[in-house]
This record gives sequence, C-alpha cells and structure tokens, in this order.
Amino acid sequence: MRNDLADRRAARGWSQGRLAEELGVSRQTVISLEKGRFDPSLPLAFRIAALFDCRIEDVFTPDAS
Amino acid sequence: MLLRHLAAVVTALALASGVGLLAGSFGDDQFWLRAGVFAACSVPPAYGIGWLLFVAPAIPEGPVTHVEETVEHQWWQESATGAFLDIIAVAGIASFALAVTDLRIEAQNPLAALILLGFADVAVRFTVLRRRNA
Repeated sequence: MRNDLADRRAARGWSQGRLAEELGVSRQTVISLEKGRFDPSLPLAFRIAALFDCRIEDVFTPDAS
Repeated sequence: MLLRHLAAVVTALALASGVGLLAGSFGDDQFWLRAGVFAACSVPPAYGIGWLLFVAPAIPEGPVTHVEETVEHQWWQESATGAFLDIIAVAGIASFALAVTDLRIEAQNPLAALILLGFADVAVRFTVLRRRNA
C-alpha cells in the first residue's frame, strides 16, 4: 500500500521519531510505513488520519494489482 | 522501586533454592553438588520471573504505547509462527524416523536441541525480516 506519510510529516517539520511518538509506535514502524513495507492496522490508520486531520484514503492508496 | 527489586531477588533465590533441593533429592548421591549446580543455573530464569512479577508492573509506560501495532511486533509474530511450524515439522520427521527404525533414545538431549532450534529459528527469521524490511 502506497502512502504520502513522508510528505505530510515533512510538511509539519516533524522527524520520524516525533511522528512515532505522536502515534505511540516505534520509529522503525514509521520508517517501514513511509517506505510502504508495512501496512498499518486499522486503529493505527485511523490515528494517522486523525493526526493529519484527513481521511484514511487520503493518506493510503492501495497498490494497483 | 528498590523494594520491588529486592522482592524479585528474594523470589529468584527462593525459586532457585527450590529447584536445587528438588534436583538434589532426585539424585542418588552428591546431594549438595546437584542442588548447588541446579540452583545456580536456575537463578537467571528465576530472577526473570521475579522481575516480571514485581518490577515490570511498576515500570512507567514508554513512548511506544501501542506495541502490538509496531512493525517489530509483526516481525516477531511472523518469526514465531514460522519457527513453530518448523519445530512441528522437525519433531514430526524425527518421530517418524524413530518409529521406523525402532530406535530408543533418551528424551533429554533431543528436547534441549529442539528448544535451541526454536530459539535460533526465531532469531534468524527475525533478523532476516528486519534486514529485508528496514
């Protein structure tokens, strides 16, 4: 699943560590999320959407298959 | 917190002494040697139990408040699941081989080997996943 988490984070001037802290997960999780190598659980996706004040589908896009 | 650490140490010593006495009483001779060796070897895991019972509940929550939603947790789950299936396969094949050959062996060493295989399997799988996804 692709996402624009890195762009949204950069727009706020946050480090990966800061975003991880805001979401209550590890920094490695944020790294893997941004690289599209880790699909978040639904609760985590909701927290990400709430944090950036948008909908889940605004952040995450399913891979075309 | 000091009291909690003390409680963990006391728990460890009590458990290890119990294991030592039990091991000593099962042997035919050299009671104190058996009891001492088993007690000494049991101290680390026994302290782990004491730590879990008394120290862990008092540790303040860290920045990672949703551990089950981290990528590390997913790696751990995948590693443990894979290792579990590997152990089932190895135990099944070994059991089949013993049945076919009618070989009688003591269970102690194969069981210890199986535990070590499980540890190594999880460690290797976790490392591979971490390197592949990091």
